[in-house]
Amino acid sequence: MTSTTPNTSAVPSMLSPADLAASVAMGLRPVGVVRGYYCGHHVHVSKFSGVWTFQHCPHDDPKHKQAWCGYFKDYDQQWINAYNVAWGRLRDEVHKLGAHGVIGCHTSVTDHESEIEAHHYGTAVVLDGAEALPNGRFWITSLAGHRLARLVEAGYVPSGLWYAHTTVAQNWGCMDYYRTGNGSSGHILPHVREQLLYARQSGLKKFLDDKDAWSLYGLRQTISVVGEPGHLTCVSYGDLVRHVRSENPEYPASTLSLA
Amino acid sequence: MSGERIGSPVSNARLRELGKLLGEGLHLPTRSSKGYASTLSLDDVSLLRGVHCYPMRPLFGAGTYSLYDATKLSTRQHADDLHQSWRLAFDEARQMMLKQAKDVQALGVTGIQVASAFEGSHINVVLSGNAIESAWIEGKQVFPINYREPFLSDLSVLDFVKLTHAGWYPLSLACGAHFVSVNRRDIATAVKQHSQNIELTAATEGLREARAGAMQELQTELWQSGATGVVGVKVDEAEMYGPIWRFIACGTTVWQGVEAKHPEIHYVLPVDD
Repeated sequence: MTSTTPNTSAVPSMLSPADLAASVAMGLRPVGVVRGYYCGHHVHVSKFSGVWTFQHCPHDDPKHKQAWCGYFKDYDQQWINAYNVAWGRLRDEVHKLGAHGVIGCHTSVTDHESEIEAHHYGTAVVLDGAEALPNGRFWITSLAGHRLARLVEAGYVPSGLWYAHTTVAQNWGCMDYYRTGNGSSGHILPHVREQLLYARQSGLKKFLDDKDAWSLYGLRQTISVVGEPGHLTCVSYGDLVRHVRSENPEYPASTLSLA
Repeated sequence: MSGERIGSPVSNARLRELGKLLGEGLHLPTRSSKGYASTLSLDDVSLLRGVHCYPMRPLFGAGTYSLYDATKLSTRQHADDLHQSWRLAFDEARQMMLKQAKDVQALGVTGIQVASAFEGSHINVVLSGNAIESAWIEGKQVFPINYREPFLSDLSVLDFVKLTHAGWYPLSLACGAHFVSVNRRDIATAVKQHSQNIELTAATEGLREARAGAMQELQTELWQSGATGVVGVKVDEAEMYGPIWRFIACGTTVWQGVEAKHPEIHYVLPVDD
C-alpha cells in the first residue's frame, strides 16, 4: 500500500491559466497568494468640519462672502488609513515569502453603513535570476501575463498602486435659493461647478505634485454622493509605473476579424 | 520590438527575454523627469506611443447654470429654458477644458466624456478627457499637424490613432441639443382612441422637431469650425420629467489632410472559443 503525500512544491496563485503560463514563461515563479485586509469603524462625515473657502454667491449681497466649497481632509484620512494598514499587512506577507513582486493585484476600499473594508490580494512572485531590490522594497502591479509583458515591451516597469479619497461639499443652504424657484434660468452657479471640479482634481493633485517622474496609468475615478446633501466623494485607483527604456512600440497592423 | 506586431505570435523565448528586461529595468534609473497621469489603459498608452504621442494628465471642464422652477412656467418655456441653460453649461465646460489644455501645452484632449445632470434647480455638464502631447525631435514636433489651439475629441485613443494614421485629424468637440414639450394627447382624445390602433403623431412630430433642432445646432458648429465632417456622433435621446423630451448629439469635428489614405487592412480569423 502506497501513501500519497502532498506535493509541497505546488504553489497557489490567483492567476488565470493564460496569465500563469505567460508569467512562468517570463521567469516569474509564483510563491504564494498574498493578502492584506483591514476592517474598521468610521466616523460619519457629519461629525467633521471641512476646510471651507469663502466667496461671493451670485444671488447674494456682493459685499457678503459666504461658505462656498469645503474639503473634508480628516474624514478622507480614515479611508487612506484603512488602505495603508491593509497595504502594510500585504507587505509583511510578501517579505515572509521573500518575493520580488506581486502581480495581478486587486485592490478595493469599500464601506457599508459605518464600516470600512480595505482589501488587497494578488500573487507573489520571484523573478528568476533577478536581484532583490534594496531596503526590502518590492514592486506590485494589477497586471499579469501578456499584459505585463507589453508593459515591459513599451519601456516601463511596474512600481506600485495609487489610491486617493477626496470628499468635497458645497454650501447646500445656498442652493435653497434656486431650489425654491427663485432667480431665473441661465445664471452661472460657480460654487456647484467648483465642487464638481475640485472633487475630481484634488485626488490627482497630490500625485501631480509629488509624482517625481513616476507615471500613473489606468486611473479610475468614481464619483458618488456621500452622507449629507451636497457632499461628493471621488475615489481614485491606478497603477504606478516607471519609464526606464525609450523604445516606441511599432504601430500595430490594422486587422478585421472574420469571426 | 522591431518587426513584431499585434496579432503576431509571441514566443516563449520572447517572453523570457521580456522577463529578463523586467529584472534589469527594476534597477535602472527613470529615464524622464516628466511623468504622466492618465485614465488611459496600457494598450492606449502603447498605441499613442506608436504614433509618437504621449499621455499628459486628465483634464476636466464643468459648467453649472440655474433653472427656474418648472412649475411656474409653461412647458414650452421650460423646454426653452432647459436648452438655454444646457447650452451655456456645455459651452462653459468646453471652454474650460480648452483653456486647461492650452495651459498644459497639450496637442489635444482625447476620449472626452460628456456627462449632463438635470437637477431640479440647475443643470451640470461635466467633461473629462486625457490631454496628450506630441514627441519632439530636434525642436520639431513629430505629429504632422500644427494646431492653432489644442484639439478636443470624444474619440477613444484607438479611434484617434486609426483616424490620424489614415490622414484625418480631429479638430473640436461639437454638440447640438434641443428640448421640446410634447403633449402626446389629452384625456378626451385618449378615451376616444381607446379601441383604435393609431399613431400618436404629436410624439412623432415632437421627436422629429427635437432631432432637427439638435442636428441644426451641430451643423452650425461644424460650419463655424471649417471642418470636413463630424465622426462618432453619440445621441442622448430621452423623455425627461413631464412632457419634456431631450435630444443631444455630440461628436468630433474632423479635417481631412492632404495625404489622407485608406489604411491597409489585414484580415484575421480568430481560432479561440
